[in-house]
Amino acid sequence: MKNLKNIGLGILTSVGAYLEVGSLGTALQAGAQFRYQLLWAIAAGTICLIFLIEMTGRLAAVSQHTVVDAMRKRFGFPLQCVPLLAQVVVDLLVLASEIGGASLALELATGVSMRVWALPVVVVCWALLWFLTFDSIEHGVAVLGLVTLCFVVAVWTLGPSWSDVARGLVARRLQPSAHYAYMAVAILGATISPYLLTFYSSGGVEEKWKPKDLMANRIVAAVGTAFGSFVAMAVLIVAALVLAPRGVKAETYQEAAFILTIPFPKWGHTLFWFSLFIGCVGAALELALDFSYIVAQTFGWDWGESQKPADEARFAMLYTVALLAAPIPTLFGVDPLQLTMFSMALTVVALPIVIGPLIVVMNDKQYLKTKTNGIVTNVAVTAIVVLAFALALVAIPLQVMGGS
Amino acid sequence: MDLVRDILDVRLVDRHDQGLGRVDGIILEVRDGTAPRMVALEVSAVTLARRIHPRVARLVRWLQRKLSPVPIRRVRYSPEQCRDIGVDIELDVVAATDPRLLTFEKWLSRHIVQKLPGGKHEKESTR
Repeated sequence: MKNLKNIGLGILTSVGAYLEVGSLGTALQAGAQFRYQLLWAIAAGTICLIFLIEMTGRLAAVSQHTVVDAMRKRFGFPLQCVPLLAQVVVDLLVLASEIGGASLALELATGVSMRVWALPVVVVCWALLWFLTFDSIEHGVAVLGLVTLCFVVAVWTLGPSWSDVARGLVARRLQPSAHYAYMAVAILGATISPYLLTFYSSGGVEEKWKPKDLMANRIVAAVGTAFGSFVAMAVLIVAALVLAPRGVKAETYQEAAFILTIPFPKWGHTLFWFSLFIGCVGAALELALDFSYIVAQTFGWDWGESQKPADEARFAMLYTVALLAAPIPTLFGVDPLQLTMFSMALTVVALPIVIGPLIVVMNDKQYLKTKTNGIVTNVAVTAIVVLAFALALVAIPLQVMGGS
Repeated sequence: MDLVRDILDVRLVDRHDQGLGRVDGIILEVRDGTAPRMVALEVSAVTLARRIHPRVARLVRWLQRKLSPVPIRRVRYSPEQCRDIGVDIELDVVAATDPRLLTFEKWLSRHIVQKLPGGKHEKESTR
């Protein structure tokens, strides 16, 4: 019964915490500019993410160690510092995007400039991390994040052509434009974010998963991630139904802010800014924590969000410093959606560097004992790494050619 | 035992499972006619940086001298202090009471974190 409760809670968390500035921004633009034609990119990214999440959760449950732990030990510091640096840069950039997104949500709500909101948002995020434990943050954000399900309700209200939606799920008519390819790459980057993997395995260790939790891990990874991706798909479908016919390209969040006022005339505006705010704050907390996790684990320091800050001073100061740096782009007036799209392209570049070592780590018997990867998971992770390398090669040229 | 595979970069913990860092370097004694013998495990940011490049090591040493509020010295543990070698290495030391260990962590905790509101208090949990 306790296991069932944990599975339910895990799925709820995956759904409630799925939508953040990257997945929201890319889905809005993709739907507004290409209607359903990029639904396949969310579906493909989700399948990859399910495999990767399951593996990192399995590592945590069997060994009580994280991906970063295992990478430092197996590859040594000189090799490991490359993915570490890549992930630190990506985490900080995406964190800055999330702070920008949350500030912009408050601008949409109040009419007061996002520059004014950047520091209060950072203070709220810092206080939540400083005073609350891992489970409080995770479950609190997840429950509030369920507001994003309004996009799913909006899809039902708007009634799309389901045959067109189904066709969008199959990549059979790819457009030969750089911008289309760039959007596909950005969606994959937003879906398979490396921070999700290191954060998930750290969360597993924080919550003291054991080998008996392996089935729960598998179910949460598959069902939770799949349901979560439905929310991102719903955003894309609503954008296709509301923004595309009106010629709105969703190049800024302000442009797209009316999206929910068509299905929900009275509450649409509030639902949009609140979804954006909760999604961004939730992801900002995860990213700030992930930054602390990966640095502390690399150097073997004590870490854990559930301990009092004085017991893990370096860990606590790491997320404090990350949060202090995060509002800088917003304070300088950088558009959060532009920053998000740039961050997603960089995420794709970092992806193979971060997930490549998983092929070795997930076959390490010292960590995983009898639960190392089987043939299916090894083929899957190899295919994902190959895909990640291909995406990394095209990400920057596409950013230059199709990013504007 | 393969020193590089099984010892280097492994996490070190004390008797109470508190993290002490990782094995950044291994000190070997080499004598004529005998096999090299491990004499110490070293935890040091400079040693770690030297594994990338000597220039990086010089930069880290300079930064430590200029920026650290407390002197940060390398710490060496003898093989006799190892209680268990597995995924982690457990050492027969107690970090909380040993003034040589975790000097920067302790300084940071005492002088900054504990002075911030809530720094010393247990966190709120929903469970």
